Amino acid sequence: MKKFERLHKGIAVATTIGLGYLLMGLPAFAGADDDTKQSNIPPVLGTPPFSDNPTNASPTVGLRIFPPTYTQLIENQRFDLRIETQVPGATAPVLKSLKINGAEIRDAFNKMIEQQGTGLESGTPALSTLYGATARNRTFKKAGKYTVEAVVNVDGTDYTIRNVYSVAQFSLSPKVKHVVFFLGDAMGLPIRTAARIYGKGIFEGHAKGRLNMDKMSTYGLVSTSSFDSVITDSAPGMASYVTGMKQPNNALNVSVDNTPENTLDNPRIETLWEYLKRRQGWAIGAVTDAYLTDATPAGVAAHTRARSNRTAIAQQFLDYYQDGTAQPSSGYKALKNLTQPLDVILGGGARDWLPKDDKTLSDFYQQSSNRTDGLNLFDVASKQGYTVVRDKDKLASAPANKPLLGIFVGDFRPVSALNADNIPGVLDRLVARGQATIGGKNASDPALGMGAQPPVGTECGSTTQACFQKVPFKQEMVQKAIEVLNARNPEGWILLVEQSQTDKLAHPLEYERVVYEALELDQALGFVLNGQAKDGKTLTVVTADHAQPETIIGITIPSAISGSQGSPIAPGGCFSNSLSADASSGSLTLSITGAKKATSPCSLQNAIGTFNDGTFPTYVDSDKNGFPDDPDPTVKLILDDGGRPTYSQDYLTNSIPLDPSGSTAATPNPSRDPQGILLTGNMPIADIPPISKNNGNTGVAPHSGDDVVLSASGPGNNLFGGTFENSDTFERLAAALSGRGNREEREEERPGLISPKEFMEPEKP
Amino acid sequence: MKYSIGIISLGMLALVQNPASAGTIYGRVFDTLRNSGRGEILANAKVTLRTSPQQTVTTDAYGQYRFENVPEGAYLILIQAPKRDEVVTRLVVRKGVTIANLDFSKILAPDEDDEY
Repeated sequence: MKKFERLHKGIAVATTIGLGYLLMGLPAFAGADDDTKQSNIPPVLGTPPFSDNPTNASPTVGLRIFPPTYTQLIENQRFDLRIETQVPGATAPVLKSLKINGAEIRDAFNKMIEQQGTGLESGTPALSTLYGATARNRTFKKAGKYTVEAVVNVDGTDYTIRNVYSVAQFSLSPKVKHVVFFLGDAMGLPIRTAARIYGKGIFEGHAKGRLNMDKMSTYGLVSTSSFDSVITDSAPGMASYVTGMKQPNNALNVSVDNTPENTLDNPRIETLWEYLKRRQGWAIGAVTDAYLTDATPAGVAAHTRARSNRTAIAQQFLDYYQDGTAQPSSGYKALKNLTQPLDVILGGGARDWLPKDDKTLSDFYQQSSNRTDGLNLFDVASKQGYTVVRDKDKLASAPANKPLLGIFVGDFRPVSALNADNIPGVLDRLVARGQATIGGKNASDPALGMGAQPPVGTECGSTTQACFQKVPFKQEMVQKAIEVLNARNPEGWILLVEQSQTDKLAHPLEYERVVYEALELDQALGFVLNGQAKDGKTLTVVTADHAQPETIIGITIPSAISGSQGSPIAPGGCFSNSLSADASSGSLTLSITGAKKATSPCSLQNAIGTFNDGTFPTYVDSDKNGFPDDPDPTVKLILDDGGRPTYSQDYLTNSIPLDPSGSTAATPNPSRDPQGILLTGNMPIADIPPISKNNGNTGVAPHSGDDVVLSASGPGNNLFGGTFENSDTFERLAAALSGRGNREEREEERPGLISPKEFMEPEKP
Repeated sequence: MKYSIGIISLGMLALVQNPASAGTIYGRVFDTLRNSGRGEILANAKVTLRTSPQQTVTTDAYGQYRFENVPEGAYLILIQAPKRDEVVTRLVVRKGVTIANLDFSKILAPDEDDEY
């Protein structure tokens, strides 16, 4: 029976198991050495209760403690300690005991809840028959192992649960004064490989050069699953790196709780950015090409159960709390103590920062507001002393000694798969600056949409091209960020640099552009490694939050496809497809007509060279700006996706990034590669009339669950070798900042020293 | 060891067929990402458990639902919330209490790439 006992203790191993698994039936009989017996035990036989996401919780009432067990903390890192039940009793439950390493703190805990006040400040559930209480902003002052045990009585029965935390030592070393943390969103291994091929080329099997990200000192493999899903989204994908805590999908620096009625009161944890500013007076910054309130940049600065709470997140960046706005002050004293204003904030998404009917928002940014509270955060920031900029020239001339907020225009072209929240992709910015063409087309070709007037107002420029020309490149943003951070505190700063469009252009399957994005990250990385990092006191890390399922599958010859005279593959020499809907039943008929004979219906398929036929691509960078002059050279690299909606592919770069799917995710976008190969999808669709892309269809490629590569250079880089969880990266960053350079130097786990009185002391304001 | 496992698996068969071995399902239905991230409790939602025959309950003002005496096993569960399209997911019921909070933001895949 030992095997079953092992399953009963601690954390349930199983995740969601589908119906098919149960139908598979009995455990496999296996020989003595085979441990499949254990893995094959159906879930029905185990306890504790199998919840929607199995958690370390007591049977019957689901008593649990947050942070989750095995969270990796550092000394003096703030976290909220929450005890809660999940299933209500008949009467209000009572906390019987709360011990840390055997020392009882129940009375002090209750006193703290009283001092904080019930309601939002303590996470009090709306249901009085649930137990829920959060002591805010606690810290473990000494490294070691801490066991927290809670006993709650529900309707006469005591329930017990235990969590264990590891707290690592931290004391800032003079060896590391700066950290630059590059996050390539969805920049999995295939993208790094493709970027090397695009950027450097191959000759007789050897890469003709190495990217900056290839030349770093140490490489590790990072697992990216979240608290509740094998495949993460960008929220815990970033937040886990900077806190040491696994978190649920869609959550930013908090855990789930039993008050789903409020997404801002969840139990929180301090990020490394907040910690370094609070404890060491470090300057902190975030640079991105996504909208600033998007999950990755928000991951260093904000706390909410819902990443979509963009307008509150924007305020948290500035540490600006006000009743009557998206981020109120009442009920959020502890949250305000936790968040820290950033010194450098550069990215997109003005509509979270400017109010309804704001002229700049419409005429310059082409957007309408997300805010319903009338707040103008540009004004708030200015009053707080920030320089506020919106184009690359104002960015370059901003004073170094003042905090900096910069928001730039997005890709507002009406058909673009990106949108006005997100900074235009680098390929499109290169075209706007006359530094690249797409299939030979330059900015004056109407297909690229660069000559069009911006859709709402012309304050950013009379043409789309003029507006895009004023958007800074990532290296320009990083250069300014570092200048400001060095002026604000030369003795210490930490900077997040996100390349977002490696993900946002991969979702609509625009892979040529994705690889250009990786090259833009690499260019900014080179700027840091060859500049700032030469001081020997700058730790540089390059990693990803997760991958997407795209990979390199072969090559093709664009001139053979493009339909130029005499090309072997005539345009339209493939399937044509038409979609019709029955007016009464709503049922769809998709007809696919092969242009040629049955044995060779799609000559476009002859254009792809896969496997043995993968001739080396021939990308050209004649102006040596670090990017290929054209994404469709003589021989072009092809990436395609393992998870996708149905879409059409002609292997030529699209003039404007386009959505892949049509009226449903089962049918292709008729405007995108209409003469291409029909690639059917494997993403969920829902038969919900009226058929609409937004009704339960997954019209974009998703994320994947693979490990990602992390590379590190600078003091402490050795610590990042090996394979580890994204949440374990946090402790490695802390170890590097504490001057440890060697994995073997990490401390043995001893029980931590706790003074219960000190642990429950109210925090100093 | 092989012999013990034989007994266990037979026993498990018996468990699955014996309705006396049953569980309670408790959960709440909500949608974390709605209302610009303020979240939404889904009250008055019809929750249907695809047991045979299927059974339906309605969530209360707190979004709570409960099924009693459900034989252990895996089931589809359908949620029809007011003004929302029907949502389907899976859950596995065991002896004792199965806590199954149904968060639409977790069940439904995002459609816009900005939500990933």
